[in-house]
Amino acid sequence: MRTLIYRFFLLIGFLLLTLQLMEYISIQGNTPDILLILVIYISHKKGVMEGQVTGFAAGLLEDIYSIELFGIHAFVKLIIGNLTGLIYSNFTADNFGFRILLGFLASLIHGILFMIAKTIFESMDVWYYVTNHLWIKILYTTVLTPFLFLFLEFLEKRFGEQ
Amino acid sequence: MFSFFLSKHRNSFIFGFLFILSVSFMSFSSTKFSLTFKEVGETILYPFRFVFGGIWDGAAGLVNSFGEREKLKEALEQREKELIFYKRQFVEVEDLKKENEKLKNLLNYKQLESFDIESARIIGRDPEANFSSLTIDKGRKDGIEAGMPVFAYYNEGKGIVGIISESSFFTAKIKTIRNKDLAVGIYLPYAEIHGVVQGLGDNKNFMALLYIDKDISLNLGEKAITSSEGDLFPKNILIGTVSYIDTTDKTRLTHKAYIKPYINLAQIEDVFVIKKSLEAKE
Repeated sequence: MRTLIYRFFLLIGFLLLTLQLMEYISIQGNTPDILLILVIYISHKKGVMEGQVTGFAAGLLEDIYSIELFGIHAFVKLIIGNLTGLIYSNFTADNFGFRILLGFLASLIHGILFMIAKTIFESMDVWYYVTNHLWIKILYTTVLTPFLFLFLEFLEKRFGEQ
Repeated sequence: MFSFFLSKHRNSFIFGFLFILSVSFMSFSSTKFSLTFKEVGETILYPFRFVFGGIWDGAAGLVNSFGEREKLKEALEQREKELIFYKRQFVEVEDLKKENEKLKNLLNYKQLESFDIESARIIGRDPEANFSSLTIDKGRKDGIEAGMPVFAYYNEGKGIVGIISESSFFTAKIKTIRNKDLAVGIYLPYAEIHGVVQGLGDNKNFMALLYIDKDISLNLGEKAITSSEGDLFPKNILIGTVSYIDTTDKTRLTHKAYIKPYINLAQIEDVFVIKKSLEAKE
């Protein structure tokens, strides 16, 4: 129960950070996807089930406040959570480089899935999105991933499962 | 067995469920897809709404039709009353228009005349005496004196009526051109000849044309106007038209012809008394 509450507040906290603070650290309007980092952190640490549920929940919260197609973040983060959980099941490596790679791959797949879904269900200028937003977002998220992992580990130790 | 299968593939089931859920969210929210929550709901509910709406409208229409009939009846009665009212108004307006037109004409006539004239209303006729005399509502108080010529407008033309024979303080009497005691100098423009007409009295609607030499050819329908030689009437006022020429008496030196007065004395209501000629004034 405690874990559930902790995760809930973690999600809310990261959502609020995304909504309120990210604009101050944006680069050309692009912000790091800290909710994605949270999802891959939990998936990496807890596995497929928790990863996909957290991914879906985080995405859904993001969708509520996003002007994008409703459900698209839930869809993308669900898959990311699931895939990252699969990695957890098959790889035990956990170092700085791995976290960077994880962040990069997750951001990349997230971006690709986002574009696919957006193209299918709405319309999108893919080239413009890739050249003006996606690569910056991937880089920004990738760089931030290991540091946020450390912060989440710290929080986990303080407030998470004992 | 099933619960074992379920617990073994729990992750997949949850993933599948959430996957479908998220895709559904996107599908229902997408503008590209025609299906939205609202549309799906409306589509499902449409048949019920259609049937219910139809029944409701039919029943409501039936109920309303009874009340509507009464309302229509009342409205019709109201319109009928209004129509009668407006018809009356219309008649009144028409009368007022006529009256207004008449008064306007009187005013215009008075203004346009180059004579010092006084309009008057006929208040008495003498049909027994072939309209030989008429009584008007103006008298000495209005400056009407005996000997003043009187004319009237008839069929938008101006014609001689007669002269004032008597004048009291409030009324005056006109000796009309039918009166056998009145002779008026005339001019026949076509024949270019001056002459005299005199009333015949005796219930005859003609005046005798006098003193026209037989060598002068007369034509029926020729107009006779007041002569410039006479000092009784202003010149160029229509008197009548040549209506009958008697050629039976070959011994006569002058024509025996008759003029039918232009003015129908039985029809006029207003006359104008020429109080003083502006030309004479000059």
